[in-house]
Amino acid sequence: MLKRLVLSIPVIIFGTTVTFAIIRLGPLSPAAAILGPQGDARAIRQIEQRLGLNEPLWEQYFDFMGNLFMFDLGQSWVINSGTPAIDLIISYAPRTIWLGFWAVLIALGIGIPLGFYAGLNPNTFSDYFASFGGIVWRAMPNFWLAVILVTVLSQSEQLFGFSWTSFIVETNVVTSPNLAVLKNPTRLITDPGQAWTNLAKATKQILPPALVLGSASMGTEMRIGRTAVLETINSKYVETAKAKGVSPRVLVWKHIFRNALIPLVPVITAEAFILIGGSVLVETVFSINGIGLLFFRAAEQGDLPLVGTLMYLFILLIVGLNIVQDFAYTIIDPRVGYDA
Amino acid sequence: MERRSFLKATGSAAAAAALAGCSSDSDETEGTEEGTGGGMDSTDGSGGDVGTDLKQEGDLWRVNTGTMTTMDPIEATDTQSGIVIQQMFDPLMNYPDAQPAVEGLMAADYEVSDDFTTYTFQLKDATFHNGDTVTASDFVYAFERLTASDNSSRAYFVLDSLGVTHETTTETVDGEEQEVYEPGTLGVTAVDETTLEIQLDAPFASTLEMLAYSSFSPVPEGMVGDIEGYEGEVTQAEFSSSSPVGNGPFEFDTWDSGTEARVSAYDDYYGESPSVDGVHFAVIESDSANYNYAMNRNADIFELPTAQYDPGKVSVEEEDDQGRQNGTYGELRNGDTANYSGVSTIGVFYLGFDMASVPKPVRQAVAYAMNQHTVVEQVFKQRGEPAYNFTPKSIFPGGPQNYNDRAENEYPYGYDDSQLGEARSVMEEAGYGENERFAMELTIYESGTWSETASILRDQLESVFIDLEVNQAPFNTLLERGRNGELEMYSLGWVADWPAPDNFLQLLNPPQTDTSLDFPISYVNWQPENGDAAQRAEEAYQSIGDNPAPTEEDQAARNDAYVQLEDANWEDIAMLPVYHELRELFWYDHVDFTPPAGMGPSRQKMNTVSLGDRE
Repeated sequence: MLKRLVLSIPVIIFGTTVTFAIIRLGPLSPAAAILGPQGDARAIRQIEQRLGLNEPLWEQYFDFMGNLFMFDLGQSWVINSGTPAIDLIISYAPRTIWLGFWAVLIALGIGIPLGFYAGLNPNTFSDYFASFGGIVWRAMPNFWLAVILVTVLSQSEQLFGFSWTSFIVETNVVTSPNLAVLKNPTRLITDPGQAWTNLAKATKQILPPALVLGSASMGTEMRIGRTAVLETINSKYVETAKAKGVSPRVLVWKHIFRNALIPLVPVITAEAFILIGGSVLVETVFSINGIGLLFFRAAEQGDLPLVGTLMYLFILLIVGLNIVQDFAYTIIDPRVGYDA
Repeated sequence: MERRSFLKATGSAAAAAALAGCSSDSDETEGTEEGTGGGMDSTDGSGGDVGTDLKQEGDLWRVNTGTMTTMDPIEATDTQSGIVIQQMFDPLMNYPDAQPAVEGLMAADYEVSDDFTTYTFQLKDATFHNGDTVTASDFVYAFERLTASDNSSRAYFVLDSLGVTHETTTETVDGEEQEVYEPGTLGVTAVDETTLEIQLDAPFASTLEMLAYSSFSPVPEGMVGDIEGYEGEVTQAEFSSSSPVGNGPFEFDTWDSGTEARVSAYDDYYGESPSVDGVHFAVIESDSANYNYAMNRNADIFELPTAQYDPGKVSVEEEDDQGRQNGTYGELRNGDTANYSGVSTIGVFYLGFDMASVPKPVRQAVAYAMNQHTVVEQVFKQRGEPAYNFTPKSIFPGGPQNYNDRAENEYPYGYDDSQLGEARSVMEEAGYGENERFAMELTIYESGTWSETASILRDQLESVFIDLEVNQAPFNTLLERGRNGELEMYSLGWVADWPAPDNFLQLLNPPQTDTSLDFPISYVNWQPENGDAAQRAEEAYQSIGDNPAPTEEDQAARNDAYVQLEDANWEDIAMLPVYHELRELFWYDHVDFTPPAGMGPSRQKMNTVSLGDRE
């Protein structure tokens, strides 16, 4: 365990160094981004001085790294000049977390049960139906699905005579969901009428983008789930268990289900990475101002403190998740030891 | 047995952790909400009532197509911030409904001295949103901030464009000695509470227009301590994100970065009070999201992305004296017919050449090959006007008529015509041929329309021995590379800072285009070695500077010089004008709205808009 943690340090250093190098050694100019296309070049020097961009590069590098490791994450240069990066992230994050939460939930809640069902009933019509569906979901590109979904939902009334926007609660198809109620969940009890409506709105609004974001992993999980179940069913110990008279119920839940989960673990944790990358696209199309969009904008405009902070957090998250993933193996499969 | 119980235990522990995770998550959000305070509390500041949508029924609903970066008028350079700032801050002068003729706004009256260097303004009786009276010393403070604050992006507006008198001091930066502004020496004085005097080094014909820029708006004296002699009541970060205080028709309500912003009507406004409760701006960058938002009737006034725009649906009923084409557009996807107004904004989009690395015959061949009319029709679906002069039509010397006459009769590279034969012969004369092709890189900023234009051009140039490699870059990268002299050919645009040709033609003043300078104003490297007309261009620009006064005599001299500069550019093709933007706005019937004129939607105040019932 300790070894793992120690080993993660060079990974973090490497990741943040690469971030710094890409932003500062490339042709991106935060000063030009601040001034805009019509800014006067004379103001450039003034801005560079203010941001410390005229210091030697190595000095900027050590400042940057030092501050990151001290968790002194700095202030945004371009996106919201002067605002602490962490404040910006906090204000953008809830929408992405909400989106990711539903994307994972949809993928897990539909993909895995469907895959297991297909695996337990192989080569039936429902298996073919589910498997084919899985391939289709897997194959549809995010950006395409997102655009189609926005267009269809916006015109649902003309197309199907059913209005998505006024379905159950009135919502927009695009723009960010209002998550205020989640920041203050006690309102669900103190002011139930309003608060539950808002929660319903927020949920309804996030479902289409979450479906898009989760679609690929949903398909993958379905396919892998099916294969894993099939493999386990045909293995010797299941046969043995069957032979010694274990009831089908116990057989499925205890002997098949848990073992079939093993190959799914990396798929599920890998979803976290997909969500970080994929959310950029989905957030743009659905106009949800989340972390993905923020990261893209900040990177494009050379907003180093913001990109650095985001990358740093992403790296910590991914390294952390990998450790958690390895730990999860040991719980599900006792044959895997931590030091092995 | 042992293992089983371990698994059970860990299983339930995991479940518990998951549950705890959910609840502690929300606790955390709550905690940070209270804890952060400073910069971003604008997010939650709206009365603190969770669940309130920022958007209100009595508001005017608008869309901003990009995220705002700041609410501080001296810091903002982007259009999106400008649109919101325009509602909250009133400078001395104004372009009413974005018409290029300025009127007094905070200025009740003004006088100009005989030598055109001293401007004296009488201020209207107005109050800031915090209740304080607007006095001349607030203007002095605001001008000083604009000049001396580290947060100012527009110090050159005061020192160079206007040329307000000031003293400088020598400072060493990076081992180089530089003359910099000495704080507190600006020639702007408060004669009394309501009289402001501005002293210029030399006459400048567009002084009043310049003062209509929102950067020149008053700020309560001492509000922000980012200049010498002031402590500041709030930090600049707070002022620019959560507590801007201005004197405009609307006051700041909330701004959630990247999502939305709202300004609410200011009841004690000295001018025409807004008839809407406020203005709500949804930030939507994606074209399709923008379109769907408007089609779902979530915006009262909107623009249509070119992909969803059909020129056949426009029916223009009249063209008014401001050049606005007013009429209707429909039917929209949602079945409505919207009101329509299109106006050619005062700006130009062009292709620039690094003349030091792209020889003149190649530049001329590109000009021959380019048919501005085709570009506007095919790529822009007629949402623009083909550009032949660098100076836009409405401010062209001699008016739009002269612009058109010159373009039709004198443009050397084919008006509404792609002269590939001419292009080929100019290349052949210079020794190019099938075995001696010229290769260059065209760098465009990120824009679908430019990339289509570039590929049309690339195909055309193929046959005249030019291999064009097209690359896209974000704005800031494009500008940075331009400044370093790394662009061979590039696309850029210029929109009027003030509505006069000198604002545009400064880009074509040869000495200022030298990329070996620290601060070139454009990146074409126009020198006598690479352009026969460089000398003429330089002299013409000199003559503009020599005749700076707002008198008829000087105006005539300047007009001659403007045309000479345009001619010089035609001869050498430093910059090839491509189109002037046609800005089209659409609005639903329940909005009573005068569409903006040539200065564009970002210069319009929304206090004259009124709303009927939404369906």
